Amino acid sequence: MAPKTELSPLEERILKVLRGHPEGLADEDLNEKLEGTTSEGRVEAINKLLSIHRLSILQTSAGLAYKGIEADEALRFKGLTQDDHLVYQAIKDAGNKGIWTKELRYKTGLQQQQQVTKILKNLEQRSLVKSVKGIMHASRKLYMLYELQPAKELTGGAWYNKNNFDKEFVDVIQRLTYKFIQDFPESSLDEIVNFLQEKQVSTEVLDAKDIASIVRTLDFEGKIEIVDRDDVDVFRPALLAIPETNPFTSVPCGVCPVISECTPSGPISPATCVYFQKWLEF
Amino acid sequence: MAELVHPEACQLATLIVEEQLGPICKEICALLLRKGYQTLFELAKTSGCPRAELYDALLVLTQHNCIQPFVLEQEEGAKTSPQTVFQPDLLAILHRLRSARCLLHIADTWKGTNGQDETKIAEAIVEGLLENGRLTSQQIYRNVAGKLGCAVDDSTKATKKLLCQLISSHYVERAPPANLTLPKPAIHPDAMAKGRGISAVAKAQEEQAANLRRLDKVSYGRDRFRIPSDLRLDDGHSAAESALKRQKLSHSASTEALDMGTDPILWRVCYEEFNRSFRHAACIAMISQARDEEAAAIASAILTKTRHFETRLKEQESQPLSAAMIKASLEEMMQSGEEVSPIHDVDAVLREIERDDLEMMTSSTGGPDGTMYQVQLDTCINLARLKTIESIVGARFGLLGLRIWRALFLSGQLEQKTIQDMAIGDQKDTRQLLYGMLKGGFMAVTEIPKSADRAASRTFYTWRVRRDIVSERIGLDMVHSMFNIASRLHTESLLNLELVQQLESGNTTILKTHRQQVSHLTGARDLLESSLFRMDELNSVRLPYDHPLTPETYSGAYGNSTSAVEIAFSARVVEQTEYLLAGPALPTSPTARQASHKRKRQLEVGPGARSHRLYTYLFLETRQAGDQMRKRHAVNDPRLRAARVNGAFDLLGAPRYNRPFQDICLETNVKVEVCL
Repeated sequence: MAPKTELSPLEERILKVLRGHPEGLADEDLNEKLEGTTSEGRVEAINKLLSIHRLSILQTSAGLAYKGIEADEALRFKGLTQDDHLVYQAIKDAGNKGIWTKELRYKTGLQQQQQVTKILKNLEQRSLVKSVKGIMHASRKLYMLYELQPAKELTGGAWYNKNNFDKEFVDVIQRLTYKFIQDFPESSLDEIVNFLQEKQVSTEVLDAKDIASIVRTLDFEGKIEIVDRDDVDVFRPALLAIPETNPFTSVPCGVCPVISECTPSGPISPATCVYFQKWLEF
Repeated sequence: MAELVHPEACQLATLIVEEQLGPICKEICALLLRKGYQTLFELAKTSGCPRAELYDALLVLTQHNCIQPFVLEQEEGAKTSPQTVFQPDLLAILHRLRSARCLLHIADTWKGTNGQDETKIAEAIVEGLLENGRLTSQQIYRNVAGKLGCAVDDSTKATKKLLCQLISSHYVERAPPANLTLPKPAIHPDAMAKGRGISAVAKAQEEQAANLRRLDKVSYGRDRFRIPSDLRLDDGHSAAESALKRQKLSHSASTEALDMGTDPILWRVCYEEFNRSFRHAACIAMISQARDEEAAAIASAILTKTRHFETRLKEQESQPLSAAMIKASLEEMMQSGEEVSPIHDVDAVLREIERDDLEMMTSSTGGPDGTMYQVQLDTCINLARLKTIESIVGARFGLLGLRIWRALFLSGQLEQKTIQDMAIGDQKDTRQLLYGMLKGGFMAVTEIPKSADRAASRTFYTWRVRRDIVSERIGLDMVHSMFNIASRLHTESLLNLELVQQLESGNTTILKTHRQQVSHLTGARDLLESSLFRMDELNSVRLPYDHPLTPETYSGAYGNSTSAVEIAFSARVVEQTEYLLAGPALPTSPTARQASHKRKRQLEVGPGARSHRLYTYLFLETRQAGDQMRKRHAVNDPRLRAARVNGAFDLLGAPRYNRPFQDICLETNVKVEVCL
């Protein structure tokens, strides 16, 4: 382990002040809090703290601000090169939506893929960044800061489990919602949300938006109707449900995937159709 | 006509003609369907058929309303005699699939309003016309007497009365004459307008031809449902009453004279009226499904009362009717014995109708009799069509497919990611379904490039649903399926030809080894025929492929389209019906009753029951959970038994159509000597 760097009293004082302001402190405010010190001394101390990664500079709406970094955290940045910092900063800017290597190279100006890969590996080893996979591009690694939770766009929200669509979970929630609407016609969204929360069907927290999307799928399936009652949407079972089958879908041709290629004298024909053969077995 | 010229429909029509009228008629019909209208000379040249056979085939096809002769327009000053051309009537051929349903409809309609004997006579008249295409009134009397098993003189009076009723209610019409001018061919909507470059002479000729066609149409339209004097005079009333009635009917003396002439009038079934009835029935069923039986009864009362005020084949809405008139119509329906669900509080049901979200029935205030109610026929039919499409989408693409389709249908144009989020589906599944629906014609995609190179990675792809295209696509697929089923039915019969011949000859000594074959054949035929009937029922009402006849064609039935004329006509029809209904009761001889019972027993138990296979008309089919193959469950529906008893014939391969070609030719009544 590298020897601990000795800090001067002024440097210790600066870090102590900044600990009270985790959101960052503007230069003027810091100067006010460090009464009795000279500007040269302050500049020297700040530069030293910046060089040993105990201080970071933030860009806020009010201008530049300083933020202190704890000793343990600073250790993770120790020995990083300027390129490493560049990549780290680009990943930090991407937030919880992450950034992939191609975009990273474009933003940092680093042309060599190998170099970027090496930097990313180093940052991952130091637990500064992590790689995640989104639902949209399963083969694409996205990098974000280690402490961040991936955004809903990446994980898919409540209906995805480890990046896989959880069909059974959606079906269960749908069934419960439909049952509730059948039992209590003209129920509102809040009532459905309360019912599902009381049931505790999921360890996942389902908010009103999630339930609203489930209700909407029931509407799309033609099982329920949305009715406006005093400017509030209420839900009731559909007066006119979609029939599960009809005379057309009851015959093989109604659901045949190759009907467009079926001709009387072609390789696929009604006389030789295997679906017909199976259908007419008695 | 022009709307239906699709290869699938032509194939189906050709198959129907082959099965019902034989291979020679099929050849000629297929040729006409392919070429459009043809003269006799052209037909003889292109078909390669011997002259005599060609004559006979044309006569048979015309007799069965599969083709219609027209006179070709001549240029002014032409010295040659006008040429006759033959045009195929594709819709009339396809309507032959609907014959059994028409017969059932007559049985249901007449059952409520008339006695059992009258119902049987009405059925016999329609059945005879369906079997023979077109008949004179004398032939109808003989046919009915033969079917009822009684002497012609015994049944003529009653048959005459029923024939008048059928004509008055537009179920039977005069066959069009052979000297109508050929209608102008329909121009494709995408065709370029030819406005420029037409000379004044050509324009004048065109105008003259159009006037000629209009005159023909008006002339035929005026006489189409007119009851001739020989049917009207001898009805048991005094001469003074008859004269009074005649005075009220505004027919000219010359037309009367024409009726009394030697040229017999040929009658045929009017499919348009049946289609209208089926459309009304579909609307009532839709209202019953969406609301309840009471609302459906109200709708039925409105449609029954306002039927005679409908001027077009496809009315958008019924005429408005006041609450008092609705109540009166309901009472009339109940008194006449029609099956109407009893309503405890009509006013309460009407109040409910006023709040109908689906707007299948609407109300309007400010009428002379207070609030007026009307059935929105178009809304009902559109709703039925939409539900059919959604059902097909659900069956083909599953629940996620249905969610995707409906999401796009309700929201308009969306990107794949948004669709996926709205329908809550897996990305891969959503993409596969979208492309599947695009391939199947259920979906359209729009490309919106971000850059000039139109690279896929820099392009937005938005998806949308176009309902009109989807409807058309499904309509075509349905006709294709109907052809496939009919074709398979044909194949099954050919594969077991020997067995079929044995069965039809009444040979009951079938070997044990053949029993399984018979069982398979019977089951397959039942399933295929019932499926065909049910698909035709769905196709006739619910999908846009049902444009059987254009509104203009039907408006001719009432002469002019002015409301005064049509109201006068309606009043005349009502008056005639009442007059005829007031006549003496039909004589019912014990011999006729015995013959009828005997025939009924034979049909129920004897080998003849095979050809009366309408009991297969209704099947309930449930979907298996895994694959989409079907299980079927026959239903012991009373309607099916009734159909069996009523002698409804089966579609393909029925014995009566296996007669020698010459026999069919001998029975023709067509008067087309002018063209031959």
